[in-house]
Amino acid sequence: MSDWTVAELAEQFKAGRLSRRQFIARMFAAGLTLPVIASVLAACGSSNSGNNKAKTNTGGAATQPAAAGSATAAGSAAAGAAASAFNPTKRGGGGTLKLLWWQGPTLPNPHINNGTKDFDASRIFYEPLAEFDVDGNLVPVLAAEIPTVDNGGLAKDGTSVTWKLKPGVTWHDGQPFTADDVAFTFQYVNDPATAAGTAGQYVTVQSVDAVDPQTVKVTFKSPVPFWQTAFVGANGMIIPKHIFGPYIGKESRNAPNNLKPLGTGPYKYVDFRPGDSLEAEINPNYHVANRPFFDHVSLKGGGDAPSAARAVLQTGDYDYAWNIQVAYDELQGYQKGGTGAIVIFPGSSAESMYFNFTDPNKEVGGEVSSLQTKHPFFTDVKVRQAFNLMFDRKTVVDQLYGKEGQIVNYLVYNPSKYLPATQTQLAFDPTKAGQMLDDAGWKKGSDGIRANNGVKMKIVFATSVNSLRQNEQAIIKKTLESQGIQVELKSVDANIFFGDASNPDNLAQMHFDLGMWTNGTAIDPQNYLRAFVSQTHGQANDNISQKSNNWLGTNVTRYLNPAFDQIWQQAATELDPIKRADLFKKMNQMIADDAPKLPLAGRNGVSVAKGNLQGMDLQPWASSDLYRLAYWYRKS
Amino acid sequence: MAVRTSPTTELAARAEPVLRGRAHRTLWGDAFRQFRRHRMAMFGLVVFSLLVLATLIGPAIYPRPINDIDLAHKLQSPSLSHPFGTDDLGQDILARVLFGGRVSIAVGLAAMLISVMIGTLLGALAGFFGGFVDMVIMRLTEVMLSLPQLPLLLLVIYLFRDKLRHAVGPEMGIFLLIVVIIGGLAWMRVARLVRASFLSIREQEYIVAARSVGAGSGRLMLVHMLPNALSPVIVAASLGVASAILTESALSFLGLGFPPDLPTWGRILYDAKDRLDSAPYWALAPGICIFLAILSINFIGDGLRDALDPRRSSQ
Amino acid sequence: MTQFVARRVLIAIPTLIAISLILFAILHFAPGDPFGQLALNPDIPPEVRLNLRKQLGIDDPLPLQYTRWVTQVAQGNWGYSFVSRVGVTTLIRQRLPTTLFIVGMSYLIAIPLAILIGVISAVKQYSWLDNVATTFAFLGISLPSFFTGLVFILIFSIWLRWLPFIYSTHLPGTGLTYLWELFKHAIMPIMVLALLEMASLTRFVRGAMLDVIGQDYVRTARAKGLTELRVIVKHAFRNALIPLVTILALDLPAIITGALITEQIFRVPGMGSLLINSLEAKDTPVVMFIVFTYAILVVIFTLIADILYGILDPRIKYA
Repeated sequence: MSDWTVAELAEQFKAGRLSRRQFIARMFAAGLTLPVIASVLAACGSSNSGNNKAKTNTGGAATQPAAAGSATAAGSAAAGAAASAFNPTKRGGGGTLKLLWWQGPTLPNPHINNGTKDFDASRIFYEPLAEFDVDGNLVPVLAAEIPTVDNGGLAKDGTSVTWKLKPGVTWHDGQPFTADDVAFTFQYVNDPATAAGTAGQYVTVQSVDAVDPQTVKVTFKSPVPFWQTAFVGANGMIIPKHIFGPYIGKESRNAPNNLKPLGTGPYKYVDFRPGDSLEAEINPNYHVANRPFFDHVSLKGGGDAPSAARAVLQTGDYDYAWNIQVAYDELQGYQKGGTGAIVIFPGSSAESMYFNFTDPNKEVGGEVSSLQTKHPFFTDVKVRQAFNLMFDRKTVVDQLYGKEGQIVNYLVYNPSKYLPATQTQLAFDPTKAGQMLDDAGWKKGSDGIRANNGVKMKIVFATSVNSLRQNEQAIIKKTLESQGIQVELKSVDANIFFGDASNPDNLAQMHFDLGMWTNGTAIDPQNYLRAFVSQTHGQANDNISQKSNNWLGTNVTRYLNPAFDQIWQQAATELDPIKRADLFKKMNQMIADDAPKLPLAGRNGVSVAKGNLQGMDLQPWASSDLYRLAYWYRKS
Repeated sequence: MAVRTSPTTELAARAEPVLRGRAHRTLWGDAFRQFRRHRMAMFGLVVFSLLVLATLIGPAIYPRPINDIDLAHKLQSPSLSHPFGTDDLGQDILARVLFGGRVSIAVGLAAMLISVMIGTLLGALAGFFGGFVDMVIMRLTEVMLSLPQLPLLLLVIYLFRDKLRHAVGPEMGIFLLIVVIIGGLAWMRVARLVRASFLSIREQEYIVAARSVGAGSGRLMLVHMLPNALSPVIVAASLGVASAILTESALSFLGLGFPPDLPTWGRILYDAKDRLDSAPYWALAPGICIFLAILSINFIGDGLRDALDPRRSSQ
Repeated sequence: MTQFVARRVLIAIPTLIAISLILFAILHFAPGDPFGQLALNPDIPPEVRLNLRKQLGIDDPLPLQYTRWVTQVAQGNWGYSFVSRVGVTTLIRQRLPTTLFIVGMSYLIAIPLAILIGVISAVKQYSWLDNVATTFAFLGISLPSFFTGLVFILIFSIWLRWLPFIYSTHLPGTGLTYLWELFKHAIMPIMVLALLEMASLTRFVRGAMLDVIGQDYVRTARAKGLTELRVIVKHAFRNALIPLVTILALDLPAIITGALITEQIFRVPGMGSLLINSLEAKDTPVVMFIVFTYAILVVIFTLIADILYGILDPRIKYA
């Protein structure tokens, strides 16, 4: 299932980074058969039983228990009960868990909603068939086991996958959970009139059929290399047919249960006020024995991140607060003297620098940054590389992000399996950058500003409004100006910068030369890497953000590289996970060399929790911070 | 304000010079003497002049760059080398406050003047003429009051920012836009206050008398009625400066104001808020500056009001 | 008088229709996107975003959207929130009581206190009391509410640990326990708002009183040998009420829009936080309800003020 290369796995196994069990599990997952695995094991000549990979440590007092257990070995349903340091003998008894989300959930329907906060709210009540763990392995939730070639779940030709469902699971109203619900969820999402935000994860699916009440078969339109999109993680939560059946398609937005979630999850709906609060109580029939621990969950929304952090770290009014984007030293200040913990976990996103390949100062046919123009200097790779030497990543990470960030050399740095074998290190060397610009023909004029053929090296450098980003801008501007580049800073309200693409200040319109914002890859980087592709299907340059496609193309830098397009297309259909991983590595390196977009800092996930709150197992591939809510507990 | 509508009857012709002479003496001669005697007003004038002077020549006397990033010395409390301490990028707060004051005071005063002028003019017209004029102006006021500020601001800035930027450059363009927007959205309060005063004043004996002798409308409004309606205007004006300074910072944290690296008092205050417990000095400097500026403007206003008030000057 | 009111109500109708059209147009053309959060996710294809917009009719031409809205509202249906798909009126019913309580209480505290302090300040102009009041008023005016709110939180929640700073909709207990909890949750937002309102109101009252104190009829009243208190209350204050009425008529309609910033700081689930979130998400049906109701209140309070002017100063004739 996963595309770890055998060589890498063996490497990690030998180095003790993988336990024998994890190793075998992954070989299975990669579709290898037992005899092959045995021979690889023999080749490694070791019965290494290394510890489970510990998670990146926390910044504060809390120590995370070992990561969630590895994926199932062939046919073993036991893997569903992932490792937990806490093994209660009865359900409940934990009192109320108070959660603080600084954006309040507005619509707790897992398929028609408005982003992360709503996925989080949904995940309290709904569950997918499976979730990814920290290592990118699938762990069953509503599935009885993870389909593999070996257990017959995964078709060898990659055209279908058959899931066995966990028996004895019921919806909150007592109705049994069956394969019909899974098939219905697909119909619901796949109906364009439903306008489901999760539909993108199901475009490769031809049909979903209930084979019997406990078995469901997913058939793909064509063989897909990465099939773990449907019914997995955030986009895969199953909704009950008997509740949402009448509200498919156009009627989807009128379902009363959009606001009264009813799922299979550890908690049942009590009360919901959009944008404000969500109350839930324990599900006495939850399908995992002796879980959950807390009797009530109360989620409060609204406000801002710093005060959310204070409410957990300083006053202890709340148990857990999510997505705390507050300068690390500030957080440490709040933490001082309290019992709270700053919980840092690895991420897969990077604060990135985007070069505009077209000219934002020219208007062609009513369009700024039109594909028919060329940027006066960013089209020159030497200039981009020179700029790359002027981004002081160490200062940004050390001074601004602290433990919330890390220096990364590649855009796709996690999963690390897509990093090239020999990696380029990004350097900070403004003097050398200056020489490179001199060599490229951009010499300083009498006013101290670089120019070439009468064109001055002036840039508009834009990002969203955010105090951390404004500090990043200030640091970068200072270095650029020291090398004779005139910089005008621009900051745009986040709702506009990231929102409606038809707004001139939206990032997709690129009314600036240099841009900065964060995005990151899902566990499979295919969609993420589309941002560098000019043509995905149909017309030439259709993926480039421009007026003719209402700036909805995902290639916002207007980067054109036919060689990259070709490799990306290849990866989209390559079924061999090892070959496909090689293609991703190649793309990762191409972007690093050609520099249309560069990482400034890798960003970790940051939450704050009371010191005695345990079992969150936060990790980047989870559907939500709450994906293990059933396993959360309070250490006495 | 030469709206001389009255017919030049003999009576009026005789009345005119008398009125003018009186107005001249009480309004300017007396007013100035009165103002100078006003202790608090003089105090306000001195403080405000010092503030303006500091922001104008301060950066020359204290020539530290406003964007000198020095992360090794970030968030330092006030010391000899950094009299007001440093912010989270190690930039000198005093230098930033001195520089930021120029923008903040300019925005505050300009926006206030716009709103007070529009508001006084419309309020006076509505209150003086009543009837149809009043109806039209008051309905306009209602419409303006009803407009939601945030989307309106976004809209106006997106419509005009780039045009102004090309016409007068990025900083001047933004300055004009901000001042016009803040002032243009704040005049309704003044208009309603002035109108209410005028409604009451125009029925008072001396106005009725002046009218009956055929005094021109413009003269009546400017010389006889306005000084009596000045009190709420002056309060509204000093409040207007404060709200303009703070609105400017609200705009910039919406990404609508000046470039993010241009410090203004409101912006520094906003940046400092989350470190209020660990670095109170950061917020203190801009906070005190805004406070002093508004307080002194208010005292000046108080003095002006007392000086221009015809009833008080006769005391 | 009846005729005057009737005429004003008649004129109010076209005024409000014009306002609703302008409001709708501003919201239509103002930047924003209900699905902004989905935009950055590379796993969501553009077609899905277009589909969503189509379903809600966001990209329909303005006249069509406006007609749809007017037709609905004329039938008493305010529509559904784009964002949460709750009926707008349901959402308002959840939010309005909280705002009425918080903002209402702050007015109840601020108005009498401001009048008292303002009058004393004027009567004893430049006394130490006046100077202290002036200083405090200007402190309140020069500090934005996000700042005062934060100072309150630091002092009462973080240092003293007396008060919670996250307003809870689900308060424990009943009876007195409930009231005590409610008090603890509500007192900080109420005080922040009250101080803010008091600061400016005090200045207007003081200014207005200073104006009338110097006038002939007040001096006449004094000369008649009336007690100082009687002079102030009966003669001076009544005439000073005109600017006060004007200001209150301007401020009171804000009770429907709530307190935008203060509600955010203390996480009060009121109209202000609803409005700001809806504006950010360009949730037009919700925003229209709030701003249009506000417009209606503006019109009503203007009328009330005009009527009050006539009562306070009988010389003012209804125009």
